Amino acid sequence: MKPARFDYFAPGTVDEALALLAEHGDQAKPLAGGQSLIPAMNFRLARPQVLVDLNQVAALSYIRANGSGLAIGAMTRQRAVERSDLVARAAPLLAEAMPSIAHPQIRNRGTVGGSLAHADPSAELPAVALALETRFRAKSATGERWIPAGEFFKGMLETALEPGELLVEIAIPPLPARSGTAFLEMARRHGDYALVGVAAVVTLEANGRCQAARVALLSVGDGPVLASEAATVLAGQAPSAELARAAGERAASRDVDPPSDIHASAAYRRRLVAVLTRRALERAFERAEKGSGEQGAVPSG
Amino acid sequence: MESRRQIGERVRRTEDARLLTGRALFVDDVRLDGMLHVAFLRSQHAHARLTGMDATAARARPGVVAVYTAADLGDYWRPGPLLVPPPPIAGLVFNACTQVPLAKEKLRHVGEPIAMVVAESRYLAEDALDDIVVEAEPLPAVVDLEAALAKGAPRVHEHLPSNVAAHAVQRKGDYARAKQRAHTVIKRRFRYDRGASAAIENRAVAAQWDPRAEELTVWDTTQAPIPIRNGLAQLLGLLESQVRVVAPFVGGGFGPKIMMYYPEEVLVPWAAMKLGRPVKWTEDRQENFFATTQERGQIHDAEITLDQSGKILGVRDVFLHDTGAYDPYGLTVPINSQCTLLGPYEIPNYESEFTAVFTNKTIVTPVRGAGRQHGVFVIERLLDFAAKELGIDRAEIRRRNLLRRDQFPFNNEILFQDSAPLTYDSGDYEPALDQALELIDYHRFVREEQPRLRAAGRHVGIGIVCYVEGTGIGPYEGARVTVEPGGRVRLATGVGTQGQGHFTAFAQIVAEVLGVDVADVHVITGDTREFHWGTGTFASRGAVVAGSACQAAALRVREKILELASQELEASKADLVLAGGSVHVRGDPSAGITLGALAVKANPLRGAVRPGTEPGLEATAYFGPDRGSTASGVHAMLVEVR
Amino acid sequence: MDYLLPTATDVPRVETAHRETPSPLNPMGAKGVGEAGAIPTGALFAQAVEDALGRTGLEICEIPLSPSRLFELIEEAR
Repeated sequence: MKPARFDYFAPGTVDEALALLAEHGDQAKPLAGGQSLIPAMNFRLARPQVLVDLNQVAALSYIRANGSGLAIGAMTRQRAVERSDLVARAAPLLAEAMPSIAHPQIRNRGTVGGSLAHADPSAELPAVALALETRFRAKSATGERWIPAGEFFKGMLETALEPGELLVEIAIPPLPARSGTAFLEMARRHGDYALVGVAAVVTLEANGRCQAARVALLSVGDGPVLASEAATVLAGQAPSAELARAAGERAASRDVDPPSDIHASAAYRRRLVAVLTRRALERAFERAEKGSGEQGAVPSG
Repeated sequence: MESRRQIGERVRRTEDARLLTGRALFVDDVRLDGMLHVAFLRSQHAHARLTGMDATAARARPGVVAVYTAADLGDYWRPGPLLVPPPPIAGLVFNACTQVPLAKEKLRHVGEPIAMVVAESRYLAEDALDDIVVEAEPLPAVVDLEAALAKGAPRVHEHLPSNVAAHAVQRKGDYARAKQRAHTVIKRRFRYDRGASAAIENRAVAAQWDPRAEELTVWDTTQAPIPIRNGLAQLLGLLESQVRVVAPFVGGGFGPKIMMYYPEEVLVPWAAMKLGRPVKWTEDRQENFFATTQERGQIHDAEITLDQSGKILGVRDVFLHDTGAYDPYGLTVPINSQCTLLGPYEIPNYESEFTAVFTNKTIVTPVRGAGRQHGVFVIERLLDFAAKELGIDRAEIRRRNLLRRDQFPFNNEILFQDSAPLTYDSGDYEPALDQALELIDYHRFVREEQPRLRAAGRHVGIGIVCYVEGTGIGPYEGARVTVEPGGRVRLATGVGTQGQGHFTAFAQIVAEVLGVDVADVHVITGDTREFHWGTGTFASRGAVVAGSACQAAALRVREKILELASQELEASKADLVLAGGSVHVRGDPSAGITLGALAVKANPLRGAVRPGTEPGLEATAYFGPDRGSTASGVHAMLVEVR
Repeated sequence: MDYLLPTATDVPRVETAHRETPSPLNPMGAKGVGEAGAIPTGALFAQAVEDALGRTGLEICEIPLSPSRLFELIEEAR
């Protein structure tokens, strides 16, 4: 469990990092918090010939208000997001999901950009990003572009980032008024990889009916899965326990085709999708009804 | 002459200062000049024929010092010993197939070592693993215990007619007749799946050959440093006294660290001698999952017969035991299952039959519990189902079957792992059951709490389980106690220590006998240079067997102290008191003599001593029990399922 | 990564009580307890979980028990 030989660079600025990535192309891997890449290298499952360590690039670590939304630098530690008042106010779904990411030691090192760019289907941040319609800012030596969440995740550990391109920032748009969110997951123990997780966003009309819903699921496919069938069940309906249940059942039967592995059978995952989606929607509706201003209070799972 | 009670008192653990401040030596801390590092090429196949190997490129890689395959070991290549020969059970079938240092013709489990790379660093050694070309022809793997016994199943060991490693039947009474009288018969199939213990410190071996002293020193995470020393001496053609094995602080044993000899354990010292440089290998977590022994896989078809009142008439159990690819530890695990099933209950008729099965999996040797939990699982679940069927409370059906206090010693009439008849030495089970029920408030929970919680939609359950644990088996351990001139006491014993608190427990025993402070007893364990007779740490025997040896040695030293002090203080031994590190005449604590001063007097530099005098205040003693002592317990728990 | 490393936070509250029935086989009357924590645990969990669910027909005859496997057993007992 020792990594294969590699060359190591620790640039101090984004431009230096981009230049190194451009120079070494697909032989280079950016190193963020290292919580996934380093174990993969130790197992020799990943053998990058060049590591571009971003930990000296101070300019990539920030949490900023962006209108009434948020901008978060890719190298921002997960622990910083978890503890940020700004995040709690502007993106309570993100705040609620943070404690489910592994353990404090890992969140102290792990970064927002690292987790998103790694695109592990059982990770929390990709599902949250998808539910929140997050936009991804990618830079390369030749320019920059914005990628919407729906196009960023391409499959198992795959993203739309090209060789030489670096994820530098994510932008989370503000939620409309009368919105509510909730995050829930089931893991063998708190901090373990989720067997199934749900990130839910609902917005109510003035008359109290559901105007829009975005439910993203994790650990049920090759990447975060948007439960669009469940959303159609919800659209235009008045929130109720029965509605949440119907949406959960629809998500389980139509939106996902979960895998069986050593931790959970496909049938059990499907059941978890139904139950967790129902519970998350009930919670999100309740928060939406209370008014979006109050939903920042840290709820308990 | 009473000393202050120290055994069983709450005291500060004497080893913790070293452990908590990072001063305790673990094997991976051993760093020596010129030290080389090892990586093993391991089988990726569960079962395969090894048809060719080429290590030329690995040998040529810069930084690689040596690459060894089975062919390079010459006469040193030989299967390991059968550690625990099976007990003399009538009609027993046992096929010994012990592990080999490096695979030669066949790969029998994932993780089996194929080649050993020695290099200037572990990184380089692991790089070189990729250079070795292995030609292997995969064979169908033997994984499922029942399929393994089917006709035409692939065989793990082709020289045997089947995958049967062992077959044994033990009987007590006449089960078939008991069944004829039964009111209720319950039969079920039980499965206990495989698991691996994962010590915080993985295995590690470091070795250094000193050509001037002609001495080999081996640091090893073993639970049995003395047998390892003896075995290595024999394998390497050295005197036992030329080999020093140190099992320093070990970060968890749990059984797998008493397997002997692991391939790494015989290869690292050999390589150190051959290369003339210190060599170290530390198992990484990935290797630990398939190269360190495991346990637990069994399938039981069990039947219990009872009368109307819930009294057990008999039990019949037929089980399959997964022994993995080799069976160096004999039948300890399945025999423990067989014996422990009887538990604290009177089971007049018992028939237990097992078949141990070779599979293409990691070797099975005892892991914490060592087969006992399987037996407990079977009998306790059968009793639960019987209680339900007969409409008897779960605690009550247990109570009705417990052995009574006046039945001890109780002979179960079958053989235990130490080849002695399974005899319970002492016990009083019913009060323990009552105490557990009271502690968890069993009756109130069942009567009031659970219905209330159910009504509120919560799933909360209670469990109550009894067991007997065979412990403290022989053959023997020893200890040497020395009072040093400074007044502190030195205790050396052979058992290794893996976090159990031996340093404190043994010190308490000696401190109580000699009337000194626990903190003044300096304990050394697991270094064959300090003490070289003994067997190891296993089967809950440290306090029982080694502890008894410590006490015996301390009593002899106490006798020497009193003898000398009675001369010095001109008083009869019966009037002397040992307390606070000195000896005084009863009623006159001010006019005493310290143990240190007596130790100085016991080792004169000039003058004459009486013939036959032994110098110093020192004694060595050994203890070996006739058979193991049996502990028992009751566990109760509340659990909520959400 | 699939390695379920138990930590201190996974240990439930444990209360212990002692009873002594000294062994006649050694001078201190000592008995071992090194495996006591591991031996009855599987049987105890199976019984307590089965009792918690209180469903007719649900019998737990195997260990270990994952949430997924327990779900399957409950489905089978339906």
